[in-house]
Amino acid sequence: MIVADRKKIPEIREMIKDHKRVLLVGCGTCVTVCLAGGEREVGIIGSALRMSLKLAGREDVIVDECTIERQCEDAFIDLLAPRVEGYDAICSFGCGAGVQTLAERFPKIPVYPGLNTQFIGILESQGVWTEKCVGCGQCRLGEFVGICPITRCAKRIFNGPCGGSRDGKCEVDPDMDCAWQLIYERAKALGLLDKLERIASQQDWSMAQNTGSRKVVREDQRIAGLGPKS
Amino acid sequence: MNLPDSTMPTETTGLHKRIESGKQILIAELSSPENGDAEPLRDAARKLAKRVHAAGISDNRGVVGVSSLAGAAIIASAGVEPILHVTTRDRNRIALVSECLGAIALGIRNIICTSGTGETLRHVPAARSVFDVDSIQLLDMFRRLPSSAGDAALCLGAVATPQADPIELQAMRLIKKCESGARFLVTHPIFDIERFNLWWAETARRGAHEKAAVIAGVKVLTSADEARRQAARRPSAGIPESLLARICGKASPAEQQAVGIEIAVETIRSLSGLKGLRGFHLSGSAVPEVMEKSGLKAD
Repeated sequence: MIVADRKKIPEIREMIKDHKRVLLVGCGTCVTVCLAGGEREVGIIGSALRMSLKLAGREDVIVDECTIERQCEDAFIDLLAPRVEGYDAICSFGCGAGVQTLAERFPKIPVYPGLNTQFIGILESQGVWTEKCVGCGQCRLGEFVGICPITRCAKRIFNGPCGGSRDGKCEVDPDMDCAWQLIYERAKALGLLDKLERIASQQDWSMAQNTGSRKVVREDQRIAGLGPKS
Repeated sequence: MNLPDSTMPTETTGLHKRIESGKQILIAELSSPENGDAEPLRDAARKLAKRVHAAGISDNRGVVGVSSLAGAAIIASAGVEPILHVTTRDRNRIALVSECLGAIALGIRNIICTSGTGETLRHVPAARSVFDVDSIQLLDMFRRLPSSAGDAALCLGAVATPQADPIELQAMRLIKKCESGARFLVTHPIFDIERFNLWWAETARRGAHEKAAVIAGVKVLTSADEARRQAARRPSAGIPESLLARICGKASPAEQQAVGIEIAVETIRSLSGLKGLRGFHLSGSAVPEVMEKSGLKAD
C-alpha cells in the first residue's frame, strides 16, 4: 500500500489561511489502512483544526469533512463533485496521487495536501509501517532472493554489502537492518549463496522516475474502452 | 553506457609496476583541504616524496573539501604519484566517467573506486545521495574505458573493510571487485588485529590476495580527541577499548601523539609478516614519523 503520515495542524492551518470554507476529503483506500487519511482520521483532524482556528480567533472559517472510496479514480470523484460546491478550498487526505487527481478534477478550487506521502510499504507491526518498494520500473527481486536492495539498502548497492554493515545493521541507521545481511541469510537458507557470486549489472534508471511522470498503457484495455482517459 | 574509444597512454603507472613487482607497496592518504588552499596539501605531499609509491586524498569523506581530482593533481605537482579516490555517492555514471577521463587527461591513472559513506555527509544531511552505480559496477565501467586500450593504462583499486559483516559475503564481494578490474585492495584502517585475522582467513581462503594486492590501512591517531571521534563514528571503526584507553590515559598532547604513533607502529609490525599482505596504506597527520619508527621505506 501507499503509506503516508499526517501533517501537523499548524501547517494545515497555515496552508488554508486565505480561505473561509474548507472541505477536508479523506480517502478510503491505502491511507485508511495506514491510519493516516481515512474517515476516522479526517474526523479527528477536522475537530482539531476547528479548535485550532478558534484559538487563533478564526471561528469564521468553516471546516467540514467527507471521505470517498478512492481519490485516484474518477468514478469515485464523481460522487464528490456535488459535495465540493460552495467550498473555496479542499484539503485532501489522500496520497500525492489523490491530491493531484482532485486538483485536476476541480480546476477552480485550490487543493492542499493534508498528508505527507511516504512510500510503498507494509504494516510491519502495530503502528509501524516499512518501505518495501520504490517503484523503480524494472523489478529485479528475482536476482536478490526477494529482498530489494534498491529500496532497502541505503546506498542502493547491487553487489553488497558495503563496508558499513555491522552486526546486521546499516551504517546509516543502527536500528535499520542491513538489506544485504538479510539477502545473505535468506540466500544461505535457500542454498542459493552462489547466486550472489555473480556480478549484478547496472540498473537502467530510464525506467524509473528519470524522465518525469511515468505511464502504464494497456492497449488491450484501451481498445475495450475500459482504459484511462485518452 | 557506451563509452568512447580514444587514444590513451598505455604505459603502466608506477603503482601498477610496484604491484607487478611483488615487492612491498606503501601508499598514503592525505587530508583534504577544506578551504581551497593547496599549499598545506602540497607541503604534506612533498614530505612523502620518494617515501611512498603513491598518495591521494579521499573523495569528500566526512567533510566537504578540495575535490579528490584536484587533490591528486596537487599531489602530483609535489613529485608524488597520485591516486584518485572516487565514490559513487555524489555522481551519476556520466559524471563518474567524465571524472575518470579528466583524470587520464591530467596523467592520473591510479584510481580507487568506492561507494563512499552511505549517509550523506553529516554536515550536509539534506543533500540527495546519488548511488547510480555501485563500486563494483564503477570498476567495471572504468575497466572498459576506453575499449581500444584495454585496462593496461589504468591501475584500478578498491576498498576492503575487515570490520564489516557478514565476513563471508564481504569476502565474496572482494572477489567480485577483483573480477571487475581491481588490481589492489586497500583496507579501512585496522585497529583490531583479532578481527582483521578473522577477515583475512576468509579473504585469503577465497584467494582475494592472489587476485589483487591487499594493502592494509593504518591510521595514525594523534590525539585523544581524534581517537574518541574515530571510536564514536558510524560505521564503527572497531577501535578496541584497550587501545582507546592507552591514548586517552595520557594527559599531554605530546604524550597522546607519541602513543598514537606507537600504536600505528605496533600495528605495522604485527601485520608485516603476514604472508600475502602486500603493503600499507597510511593516513593521519604523523605518517612520516610512523614510517621512520617502523622502518617502512619505499626503496
